[in-house]
Amino acid sequence: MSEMDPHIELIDRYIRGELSGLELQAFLTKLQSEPAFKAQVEQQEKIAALVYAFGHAQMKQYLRQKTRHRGVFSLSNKTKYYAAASVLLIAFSTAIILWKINPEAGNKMPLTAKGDTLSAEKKEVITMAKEQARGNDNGDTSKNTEVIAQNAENNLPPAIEELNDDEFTASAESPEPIVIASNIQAVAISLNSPVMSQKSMKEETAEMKPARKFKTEAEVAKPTTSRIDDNKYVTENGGTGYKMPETSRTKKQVLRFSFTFLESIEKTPAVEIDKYNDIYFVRCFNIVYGNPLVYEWQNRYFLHSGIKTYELKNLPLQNGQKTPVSAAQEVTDPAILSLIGR
Amino acid sequence: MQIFTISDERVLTICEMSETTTGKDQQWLERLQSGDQEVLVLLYKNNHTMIRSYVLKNQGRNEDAEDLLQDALIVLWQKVQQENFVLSSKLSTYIMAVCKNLWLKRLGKQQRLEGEDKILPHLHVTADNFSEISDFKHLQKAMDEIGETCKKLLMMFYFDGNDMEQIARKMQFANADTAKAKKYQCFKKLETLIKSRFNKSDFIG
Repeated sequence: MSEMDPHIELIDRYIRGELSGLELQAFLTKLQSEPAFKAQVEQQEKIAALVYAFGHAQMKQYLRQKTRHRGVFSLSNKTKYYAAASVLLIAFSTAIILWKINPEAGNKMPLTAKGDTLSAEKKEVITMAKEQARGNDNGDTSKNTEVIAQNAENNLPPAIEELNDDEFTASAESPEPIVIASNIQAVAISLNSPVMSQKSMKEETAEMKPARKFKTEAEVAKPTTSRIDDNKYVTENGGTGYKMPETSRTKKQVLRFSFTFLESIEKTPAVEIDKYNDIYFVRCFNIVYGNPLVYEWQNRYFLHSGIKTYELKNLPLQNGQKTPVSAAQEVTDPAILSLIGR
Repeated sequence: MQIFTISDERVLTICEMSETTTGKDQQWLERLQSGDQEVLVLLYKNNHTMIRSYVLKNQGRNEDAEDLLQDALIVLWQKVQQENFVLSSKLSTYIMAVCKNLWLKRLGKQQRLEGEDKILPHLHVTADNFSEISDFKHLQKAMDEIGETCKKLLMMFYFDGNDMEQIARKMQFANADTAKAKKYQCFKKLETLIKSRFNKSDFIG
């Protein structure tokens, strides 16, 4: 201790902003009057700065590594369950497609058995998983915190759509509520499957007209397929299908929501919404945070967070449009609550 | 139906006043104070959505939000290490407030580590211009060469802002004087290494 340079501690205190009053005054005077002391201060400042910068860089690197690791924003257990359910969906939809394309072969397949085991709840989960998978396809991690959902127009006739290889879909047939958004996961939940008995499952699959992958113009020209008319196609497997005209096909609107939950001294639940770059920014005041989801039903929008559901009024908005902060009305209508499964 | 308008800033202030720390926050604070960096990752995960939403709404991008939140957590880390740190709001509210301050400074093209967020107020060198003043690899090597104990001690002193008593307690030295002596040795060791490695014009004034 006796060999210690007494200036080092003093300079450290200066660097850390611990000097004040007369002590600081004396230090500054010494700094100005003694070049050797000034040089020592500068040198010590730089070493301190290096250590500081080193610490900052190390911690930043640590956070980058840890937070960019897939594990941080990877799927939750619930979502993993949905993902697993999506495998079931693919298997089931493939079975339907094959069955429709080749009914004889289909009869040999255990389709009814699958239908039996597919409860309404599972079907819902599968639908969610399908949409979840779509949301995650592009690898955009923002999908985990920002929601994309599909709002199918209601009351349109069943349509067959051109699909990607791994995609299967059918148009919405009834004005049932659809989950539009949550700020946690890119999930869209279709709740149009009240009870899925074996019979109703068969009826539904018959009505839905399973989606098939249509070929491009060039592929259609190949001998294996033939184009019958403008809208009718024969697939490689011998099945036929109709491509709906562009104007009558189901159009899907993508709505993105981003939520901020705030509390104010007024305890009244309220929301303020504005829309920029096609994203709805919803600021929720005094609304309990808990896996928020937005449902659309008959052009009405409902935010469910925690255990309560509120109606979001004045939606949809145009870009740049903003709703004032207004009290959020809690939905108590059991009909609506039952539709969204609460 | 009550209608009211509150600016973001006011909401934040009100939140800070009306909210209190939760038991979970307290646990996390204690873990942070004991040097558990894993808590930062949890806090990042829990607050990412909120901060991202704020940044996107205020002329920022996803990358900005990530960077901002990382910096805010570093500020939190440093603050928590200080003995007199008292959290009077929820952790998430505190993080949001720090993010807001940092973001407003960035928008105003101000330096990030100014004012009360700066642990070493008289330093004019920040992590931002770190690469300009020295070669990171040289410093990393020098820091490695002084040994793990010295590295930890100097970082606790200059980066975390701990005082000698805290360092003595955390590093299990006999007392603050022992910590001070050890810090002196470590500082001198690093100084010697740096003087031998770095160009005089780059580093030693």
